[in-house]
Amino acid sequence: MPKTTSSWPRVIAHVDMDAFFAAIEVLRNPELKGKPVIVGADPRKGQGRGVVSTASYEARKFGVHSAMPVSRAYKLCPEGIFVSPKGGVYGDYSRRVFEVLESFTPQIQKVSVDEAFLDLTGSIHLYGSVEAIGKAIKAKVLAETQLYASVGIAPTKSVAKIASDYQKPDGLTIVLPDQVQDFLDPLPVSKIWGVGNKSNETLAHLGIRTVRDLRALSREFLDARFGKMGGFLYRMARGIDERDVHDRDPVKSVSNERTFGSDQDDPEVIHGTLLYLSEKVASRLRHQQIKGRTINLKLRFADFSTFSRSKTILQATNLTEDIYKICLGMLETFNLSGKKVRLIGVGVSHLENAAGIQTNFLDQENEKKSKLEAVLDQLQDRFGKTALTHAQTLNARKRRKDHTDSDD
Amino acid sequence: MSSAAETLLSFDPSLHHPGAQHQVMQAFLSGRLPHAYLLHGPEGCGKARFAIGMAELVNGADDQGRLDPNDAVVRKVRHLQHPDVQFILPTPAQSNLKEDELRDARREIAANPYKRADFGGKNTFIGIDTIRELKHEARFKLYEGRRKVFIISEADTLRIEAANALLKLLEEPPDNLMLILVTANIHRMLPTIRSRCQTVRFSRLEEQALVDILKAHAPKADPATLPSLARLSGFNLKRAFDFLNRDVIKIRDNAIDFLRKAVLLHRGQEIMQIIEATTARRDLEEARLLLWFLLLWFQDLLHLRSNPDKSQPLYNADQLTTLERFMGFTANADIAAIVWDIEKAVQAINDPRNYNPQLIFTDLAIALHRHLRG
Amino acid sequence: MKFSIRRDEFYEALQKVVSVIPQRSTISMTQNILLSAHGGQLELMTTDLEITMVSHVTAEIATEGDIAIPGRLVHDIVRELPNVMLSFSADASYRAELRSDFGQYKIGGENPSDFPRKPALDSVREITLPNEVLKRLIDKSIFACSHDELRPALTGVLFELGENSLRTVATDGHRLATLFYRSDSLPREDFSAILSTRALNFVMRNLEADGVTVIGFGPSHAVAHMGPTRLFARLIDERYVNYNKVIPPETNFDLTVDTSTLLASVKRVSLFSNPITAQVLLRLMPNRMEIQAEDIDYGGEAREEIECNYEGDEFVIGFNSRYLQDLLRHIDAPQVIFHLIRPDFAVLANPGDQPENEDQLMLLMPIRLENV
Repeated sequence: MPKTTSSWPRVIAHVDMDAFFAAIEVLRNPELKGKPVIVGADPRKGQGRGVVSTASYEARKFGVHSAMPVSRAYKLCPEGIFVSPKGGVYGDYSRRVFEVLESFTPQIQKVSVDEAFLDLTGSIHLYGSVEAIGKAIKAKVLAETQLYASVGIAPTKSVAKIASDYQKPDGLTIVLPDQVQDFLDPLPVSKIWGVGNKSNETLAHLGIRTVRDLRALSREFLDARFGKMGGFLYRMARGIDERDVHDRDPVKSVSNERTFGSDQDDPEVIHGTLLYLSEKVASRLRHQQIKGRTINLKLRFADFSTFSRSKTILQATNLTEDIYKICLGMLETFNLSGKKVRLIGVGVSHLENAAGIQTNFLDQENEKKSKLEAVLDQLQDRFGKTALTHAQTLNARKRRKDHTDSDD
Repeated sequence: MSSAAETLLSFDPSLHHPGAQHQVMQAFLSGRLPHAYLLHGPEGCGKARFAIGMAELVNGADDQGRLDPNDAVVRKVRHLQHPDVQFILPTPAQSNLKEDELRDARREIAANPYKRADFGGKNTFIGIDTIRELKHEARFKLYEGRRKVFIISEADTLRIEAANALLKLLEEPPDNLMLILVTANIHRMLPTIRSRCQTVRFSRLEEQALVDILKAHAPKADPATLPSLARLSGFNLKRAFDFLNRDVIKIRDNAIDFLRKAVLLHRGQEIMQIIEATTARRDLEEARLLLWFLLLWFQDLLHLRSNPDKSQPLYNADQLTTLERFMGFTANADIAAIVWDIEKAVQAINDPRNYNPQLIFTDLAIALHRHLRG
Repeated sequence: MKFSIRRDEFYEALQKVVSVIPQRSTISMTQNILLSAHGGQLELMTTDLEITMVSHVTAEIATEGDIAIPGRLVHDIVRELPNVMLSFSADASYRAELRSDFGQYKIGGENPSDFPRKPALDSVREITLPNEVLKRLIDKSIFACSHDELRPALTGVLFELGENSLRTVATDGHRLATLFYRSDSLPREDFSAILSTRALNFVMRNLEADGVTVIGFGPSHAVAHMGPTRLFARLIDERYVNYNKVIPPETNFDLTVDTSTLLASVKRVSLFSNPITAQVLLRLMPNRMEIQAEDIDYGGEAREEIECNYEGDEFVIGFNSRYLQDLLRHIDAPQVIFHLIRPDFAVLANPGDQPENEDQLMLLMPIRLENV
């Protein structure tokens, strides 16, 4: 079947290593080959408390699967070989797998230690066909690591992920753009990535079992029933997924977060912290001689609900005031009345060099501001953070009893 | 009350809401009109019409605030044809909307701003493109008026990006612009928008005001029915104009009949007849209205209980004797629980996947019987 | 209201004004044409609230009057008719009828007093310009306008009337373009107005190659008289940025170079620029200049050397090649003179020679470079 790539708007692959930890254990200990290997906490003959990380396909035949309590796994498979997880080793293998994947495209999104999305749109022409590149990925991974991967290739992330799961282990499932709906329709809705237990339950109550059933529901109904999830379900049922493959290389974003020791609803503290975080991020940007165009604000409330907002501006910045003002604007779109904040995060992405930037004479004030900030940076370097700070952050500092900061 | 009532300022008595008029006139006469207003209050009390009246005042009145309704400028504003006055209402998405549909809807609103805009039940909202167009218009000099007025009705339907774009306009408004936001759901508005507007509170109109407005905009309607229509709409003009297309009094009478038969449930067959009659036509709207009138009926009973002197206006004032007789019946009933059951039925009938109205009404009849008969 | 007119003449006017009617509008009146029959003249007016067009045509007026009628409908009917005499009438209820030998067409019209008023031009300042000068005044500035809605003033072109002079200015913060024109036929004024790019493009499209145009500036609109048609442009209500402060009063070095040679070179070299910044480097040496671009991500590089007249210090400066090309394309003279100060400062440019009564100046902000 010809799989010409000219009709693909994007070529997205989801690579999923098969029973990763278990397979690695078998590699290191060849006598485990063909046996039911269960990587997880010590079952203590059924009394153990802990869960299964992963199980080899032989163990899965007994009904054992990830996240299952080991006590139950022991009951299902008493002759299973329980191995305790060795993080460092798995990390090494993961690195090697990703090195292989990077040779196919720089656009990789690491989902977990053994899963990744690849945007192959720009690399397809080197392989001639989607099938060829799919096979090449599996072959190279196997050759370099001796581990098997299942690959799903589709025009969008969500479909690619479902596809990689379709045939396992050692599978290659390709869903052509005009096959997407036929592929999705018969699948149970639980297969859709992002449909959690709660939504699943609600859908089941409504008699919705397959994607085809889901598609029969109108957008209005889904919005009314599921709120924001409604739009998501509507799109997923139709294979519509605009999401990009984001490489989350830390160099692509500079951010700082603060978790309050006790949840806050005092606007002065919140604003003060926002300014402090903006200052920190801006300072780090300036030190690295970079600026960013997208400002990200993250808020986590006392009930652990977490929200992010982003704003992309025309001209990249590394000035505290810009970042703070934009974050403040985004903060105001949250209805904070009656809510306590647990964590605030400020970040800047879409980075570019501070040099090589088109200048703008309307920003003469900004130039002066930049110089002032540079002086602040130097002084802070010499005398430490308390030497010079915008007045507002002093307040937040005085007030703060306990909090934890983190950055990346 | 006090002598202040005699000195209340107003610019157009036909707009009612004397308190609001006074507030606006004071600002106008002092020459210090705020850049942004937020008119809020229950649905169908004439807020949008008031906003248009404010635009007339600002562009067409003399410096004493006197408006001549036949003045060409005032008429132009009222017809929503003045180049410096923009009237924004929520509409379906561009892709879902035909050009004539929008034009016709706007024409209807211009002729009767008290009516609900009809887009065939499609989901409506105010999107960022609309606000962008407003901002584009805001940057030009006045065309021919004295002040630009942008009215945004049902402002609580602003999408979040649209609300953010509007915020910028609210933060730095041009000198020659006045924004008037109108909403029946102030709690749904972004607090950052609310804080930048001068709020004016509106309350429900009285029966006579509704009748006058209905008469003026629906000359063909039978004037004898208008007072009942006004009451049965819950004193909501939008709903009252919707009602003009139906024989709502008949539906209300059906509701009372349904209630009567529910109480005497051994007339099971007759109840089934009513249920079948209502649901056979598959007219969801009629079914909804029947439930709505049941609710009004019990709200009237609650009012009667707490105000036996009838000081509060009753929705079913034309059926006073029946109401009072019913009062006797329901002396020990838990009316709040009944209202709750009716509201549940309303929810059920609006649930698209659970469309079994026969079942809903039967359940309700049983529940009512239980409450009223014990 | 009643008049008769020959189809061809009616259609010519209709065609012009119908182009202004917007596709969609919140003010439904703008879908109409306002017909006014008075004093032997038929006047047609259309507007989209930004541009208003008024056109005249002679007609035999039996009864004077006004009416607003659906613009596209009338235009389309008249278009389909051959060149016969047409008779138009309307009654007091705004019901209109168009008659010809072929038949009659009934059209529902609306109250003309609801139509936007013709822009008031009291306290008008009027100037007369040769069309080719007007074209140049617009053409040499409009390309530099901003598209950023956050600064409305910069989305238009500034018209400054001075002592027997007119200046146009446009800028987006990255580049600025201005043309100064002096003539005794211009009045002595101290007035400025900002016209939107849309209106100016409209004027450009409808401007004849020869002849003169009278332009008036009123409180809310500017008007261009183009034969039997008047085009009104609504003015932007914001103060223009103080561009004088931005233009450096003194410069250090002058560079003279052949305009077309430089433009061709920049065009070629910029093919190798980073697609986002479009950066090209100009390296100036005694009587030579090097134009260079490279895209680090893809490993391409281009380098060209051309002759020039330069006696300053060695100088390296970076520009957005698109802006640089725009600048060069709007220089008509065979040579262009650049005035430089420092690599991180704005650069000025003007044509090597220009008409005596004109002064064209461009300003371009550089791209700040790392360590070069």
